[in-house]
Amino acid sequence: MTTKRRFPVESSSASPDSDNEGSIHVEAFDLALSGFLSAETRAILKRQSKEFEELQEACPGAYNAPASEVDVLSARRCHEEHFYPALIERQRARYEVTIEPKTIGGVATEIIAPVEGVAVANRRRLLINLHGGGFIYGGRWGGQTESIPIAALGKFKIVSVDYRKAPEHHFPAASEDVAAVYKSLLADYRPENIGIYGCSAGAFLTAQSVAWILKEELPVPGAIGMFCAGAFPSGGGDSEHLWAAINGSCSVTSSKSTKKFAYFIDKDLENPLAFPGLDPRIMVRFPDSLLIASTRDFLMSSVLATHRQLVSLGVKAELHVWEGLGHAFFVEPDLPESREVYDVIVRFFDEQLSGE
Amino acid sequence: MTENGKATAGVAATQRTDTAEERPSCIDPDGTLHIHELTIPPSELWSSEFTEFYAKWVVQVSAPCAFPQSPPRSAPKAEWDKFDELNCAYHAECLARVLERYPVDVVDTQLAGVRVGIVSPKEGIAPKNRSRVLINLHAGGFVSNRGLVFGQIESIPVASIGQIKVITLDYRQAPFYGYPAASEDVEALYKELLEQYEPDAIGIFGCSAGAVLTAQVLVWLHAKGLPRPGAVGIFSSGPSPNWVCRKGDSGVWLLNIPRSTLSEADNAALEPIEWYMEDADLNDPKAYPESSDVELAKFPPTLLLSGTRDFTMSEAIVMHARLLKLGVDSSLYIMEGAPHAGHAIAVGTPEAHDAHAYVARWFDEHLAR
Repeated sequence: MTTKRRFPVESSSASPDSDNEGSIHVEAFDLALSGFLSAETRAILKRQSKEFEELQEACPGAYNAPASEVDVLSARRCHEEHFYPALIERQRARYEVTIEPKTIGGVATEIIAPVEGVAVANRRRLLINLHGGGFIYGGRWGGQTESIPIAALGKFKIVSVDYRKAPEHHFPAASEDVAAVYKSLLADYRPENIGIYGCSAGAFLTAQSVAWILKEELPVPGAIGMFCAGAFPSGGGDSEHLWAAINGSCSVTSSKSTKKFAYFIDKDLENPLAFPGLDPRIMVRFPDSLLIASTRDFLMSSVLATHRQLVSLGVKAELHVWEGLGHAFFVEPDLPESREVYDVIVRFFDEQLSGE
Repeated sequence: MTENGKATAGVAATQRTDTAEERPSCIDPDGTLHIHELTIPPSELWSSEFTEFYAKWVVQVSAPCAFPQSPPRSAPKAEWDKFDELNCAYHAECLARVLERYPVDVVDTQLAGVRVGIVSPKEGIAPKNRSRVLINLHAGGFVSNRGLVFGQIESIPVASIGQIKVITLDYRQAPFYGYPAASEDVEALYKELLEQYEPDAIGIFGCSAGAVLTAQVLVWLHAKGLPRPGAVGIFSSGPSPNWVCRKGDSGVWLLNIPRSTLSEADNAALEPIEWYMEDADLNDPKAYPESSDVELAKFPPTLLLSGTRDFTMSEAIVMHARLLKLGVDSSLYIMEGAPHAGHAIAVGTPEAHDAHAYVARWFDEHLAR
């Protein structure tokens, strides 16, 4: 890591750098890409930096926090035209799958499966993917990016749910949709053979879905994956503070990274059906959980809090953190670390779902 | 929280209203970010106890000469003994709080020619643990925390919560001994314990330099033809003795955050850590375990633990991924906001208690019965 600052040269009797409440004042510094990242990874990150700039040219405003419903709809169109196609093409070039739309339980989904068919061991197993996108974006295409590598590598059949989201719909619409899909699938699959996973909003939704499934007195799925977010709202954790720093480093005015989504209203933030971490009585009933985060992910603290709580309640939960990479980094299949993530996800569900 | 449908791996995803031309260039072509000055507040996820601990800790480590200063390397033994005394006194209050919270009996004795503190829970060792034992290798950069005080701070909560015997080892270290003295001491103790315990019912854990030693010992024992222990804990460490912690993201807590674990006067404290390893061969995995995939692949179930404000976190998470890929049953636990050795020094906080409870449960699940 390159640093302008070395250790402080002078020390005075009272430190000017801290106050009695435990805040730390830090002078401006340089944060290089993590020294643990390979040259290959750095090259891809630089490529992504350029791609992001190009995207912002093509879609002015689409990568800003939306201020209105119109902003969201136009951003979706722009993502669909300029962002997803190249990414999905890269994924499908590496990971060969079939993608078929299907309505399940009245909800739009896509079935993503390996071209050569699911593995014998997976014939009675199923994964449900819940896409990310802040509960406003990611419909269909986001789900594909998160399902393609897993379906191909794990030779799983994956149902990616195009759940209802904001601004058109609000909590608990997505939970209801996932529960409807799940309930319908229970006719053909045993619950211990079903896994549910998601990244970012999809991770929040995975947790919410388990809470909803419990509320509906349905049997819980065999295993779940919460990636890049967890069962707690993100507010005010270490990852958010550091993210705000990284975010703030390039904006003219510092941007607050804590904003409520249109999907949730204020009081949802205190509702355990929205954030099950708020109620240990729900969390103690969670199935085996896989938790994934990365050091530059602003939601890492949500993942850590979820892991801590689950293991303290005796729930089997495993944590994996990737170094030097940001939120949802593994949608990019070219990153070597993404392949590591896919392998971890596949191994987890392979081990946890009973398959009988 | 704001979030878009795109990935922003390692690069700032920002909300911008200006065009590319107007935007100040604050990402270098090589990906380096220029971070403005900022204030990092306490984490809102912390308990009030942890917030209080952290506030005190920041003040403590920010003070000049925060820790007793180690003498120059060539200083006579009397001076080093004085340093050890001051060090123990420095940690005495923490130890007192640990003893109050976690009632244990401590027997200060010798085993296999090495000074040990045998820690047993006051309410007795759980029946399932009578055939099990843990060895703790204390932190201290291979140069400080001689005696048993800091080691006991680390051992006592595990013994009490886990209802298991923990043996704290006062291993030989710099400036008077160099590698492989500490490994030899652990080997001696381990062989002694093998007369009473099955190897897979023995666990070893360590913090910081003690974690490095734990990893070194695994390779050492294997080289000596001894059976490997049942499970190991590697806390606040990589476990490389190479001081690589500067190169990962968590290195910000060492270099960029003023004072962090070390005060200005402790700048020099980094150097003594290298004294112990001075004569070790970089290519010898018994000294540098991270140099050998073959040796790492033989590790027993391993628990890596660190904190988001610990400069060793990046190394720990990287080692976790590496061990998994080598087929080792590796687990990871990261404490929100914990500084270096935070699980040990944040005495009385729910966060530290939860971490120790997890360590105890983890060993329970991974040691043979």
